[in-house]
Amino acid sequence: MNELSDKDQPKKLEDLFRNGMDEAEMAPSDNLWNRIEHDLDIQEKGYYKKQLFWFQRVAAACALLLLVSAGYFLYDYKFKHEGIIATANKKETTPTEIASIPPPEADEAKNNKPKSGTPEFRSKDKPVIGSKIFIASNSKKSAVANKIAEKTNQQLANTKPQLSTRQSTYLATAENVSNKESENIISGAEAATIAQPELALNENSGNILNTETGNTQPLADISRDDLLNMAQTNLETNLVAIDSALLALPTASTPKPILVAYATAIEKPEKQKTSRWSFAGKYAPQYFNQNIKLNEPVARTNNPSFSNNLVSLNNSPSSYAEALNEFDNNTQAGYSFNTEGAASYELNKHWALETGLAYTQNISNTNTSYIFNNSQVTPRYASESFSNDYNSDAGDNRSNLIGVPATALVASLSGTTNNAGGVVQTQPFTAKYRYRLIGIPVKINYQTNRSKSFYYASVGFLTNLLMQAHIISDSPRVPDLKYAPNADSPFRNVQMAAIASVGKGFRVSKNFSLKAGLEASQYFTTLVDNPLYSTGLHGKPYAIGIAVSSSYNISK
Amino acid sequence: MQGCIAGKRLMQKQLYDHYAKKMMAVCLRYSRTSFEAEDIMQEAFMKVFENIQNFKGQCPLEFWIRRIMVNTALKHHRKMMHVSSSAENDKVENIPEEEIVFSNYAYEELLTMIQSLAPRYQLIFNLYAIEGYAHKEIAAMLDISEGTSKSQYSRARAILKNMLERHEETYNERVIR
Repeated sequence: MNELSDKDQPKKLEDLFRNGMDEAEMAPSDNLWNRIEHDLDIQEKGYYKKQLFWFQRVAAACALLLLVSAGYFLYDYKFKHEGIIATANKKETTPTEIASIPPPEADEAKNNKPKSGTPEFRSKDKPVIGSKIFIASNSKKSAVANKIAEKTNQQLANTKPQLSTRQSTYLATAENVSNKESENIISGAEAATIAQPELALNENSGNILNTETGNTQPLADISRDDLLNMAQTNLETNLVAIDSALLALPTASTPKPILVAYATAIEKPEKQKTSRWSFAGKYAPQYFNQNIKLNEPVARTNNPSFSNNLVSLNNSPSSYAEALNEFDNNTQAGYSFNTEGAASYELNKHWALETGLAYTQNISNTNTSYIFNNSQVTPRYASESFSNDYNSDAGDNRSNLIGVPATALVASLSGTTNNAGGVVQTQPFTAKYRYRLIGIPVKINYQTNRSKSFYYASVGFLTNLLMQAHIISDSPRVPDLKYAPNADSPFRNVQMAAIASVGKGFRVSKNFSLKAGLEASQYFTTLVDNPLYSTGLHGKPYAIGIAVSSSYNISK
Repeated sequence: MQGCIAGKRLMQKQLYDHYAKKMMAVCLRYSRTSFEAEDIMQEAFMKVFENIQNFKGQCPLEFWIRRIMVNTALKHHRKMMHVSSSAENDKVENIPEEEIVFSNYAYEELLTMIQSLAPRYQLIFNLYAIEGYAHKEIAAMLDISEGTSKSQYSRARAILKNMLERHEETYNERVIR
């Protein structure tokens, strides 16, 4: 077998083909570029879809963050709430501690208590009379419970007028409880919980208050089980009766004294609570750069086969380039600012989440002396219109176009052929590009400590809706243009930005603090909706400013 | 370049206009019809625009684009199952190594000859004789053995040589008459 090697190949045939083929050229069909362009359009839409998807993911993440923080808030609230009660119980005065160790009789009573009864009037494993009576002190609900207690009390008094000395407990009137303790009791539920230890009958108690007279009287011997049974059996009946009784009750009538557990033990030191929520207002004057350069090489290409907007002007390239240069050189930041009203939720000592509503006004000014006549300002340059331009078909969708004299930026955004007029030099005038946005910021804040003076930093996202883009000219020859957030606007309606700030804060009072620092925002998207159809390089805008804010913490 | 990277349609169009004719010639010799060539070219130019930011200038842009055209053509062939349609034959045919000097042919004539080859022969001949790849590289690209590449190249070359000889004979006869 005689194998051919690369070296052994005769060259003549290869040379013939290589020379004939290598530098050959063959024109493809005219519509091949259209096909490629179509694919590019689809790809581009896919790109924007991807971007949109990304934004959606960010929005979803923000929503999730808010949900998690809300969940954390609820959990924290509950935990803190229970924690306070537990603390309060722990810090109870001696009688509570004594009462928390029930005598053998009490245990026995607990074991023998009836299974049936109105669930609302039963706590886990303690007799309920005291607790419900105790609730009577605080609210409307308490009033009902108060009446229930009265009824129960009356029932008890009628059937078994006295309790045995051994099984009795300190009793106080409902008045006492109302007057003395209601201020300190957080809620009925807390009261019920707190009151439970007091329900254990105190062996040492010798005095029983007669609820009708207020005098101390011995009650007849009665077993604790009997007492509880009676109370609970009658509660349901009483509930109905109480409603009607309450209606008939004169408002000025003094509530009847009721049996109540020893309540003085409830007293607890008042705990100062600081809310996790605070509200803030911010104002930030800023430097805004719309980041548009019209006089980039790509914008000045004079391709005769391609009749894009600015390149086909009937002007000398020099005046056209000068006009674009002038825009680039004479565009300055105007007075821009950002204000924000925000609610902040403190996650812990250092970290907090913040969201709210922001209003931003970004302004750029251009001093110019060139007018681009007959700039087509509407409809928005769609890919179809661009394609029509390229194919030199009479623009089918140009029926709504309005040809107006405009500035270089507006002309660049029109994206349609500008055949008449061209660039005209005139008296210098100022064009103001004003963008008003409303947005929702979602930020996470960090602050160093809770001392009088502290440092802070925050990062987050700002989702803005461009409410209005207003191009204001002080030249009588150039009309003002205003774009609302709709399809006719060449500007992007929804603009997202990353925001970051850092600075120092001062705590003016316990609840009130002031902050000042630097703030920067970087937009994720260009100002122009579809920069591919516009002239020049369209970068992503950014803003840097000084933020001054105040926040108020809601303390209870 | 920068404009293409930025996705400027104007710039993309210019790039296309600059290289379209040369690349169409490349695609044509890897395909059997101009429609097929345009399909390859469309797909390849999309790849060019998608990946142009990855072009670091290690070689001339034309070579880079051309390589994309060739790779797309290979992919196209694989997809169309052209490659697998030829029987594998590792035996290298014994081709007499005679020196033949052929006359100059027009591009269209040469293209017709190449397009008349069986798809795999066409592919291997293009890769070896015109693009300048070695058989080892071709074997790797087409997932065949080096021997197969050599053998099929020999077959392709023999066929083309016959075509050229017949063409020469016809031409000479015409001249004599």
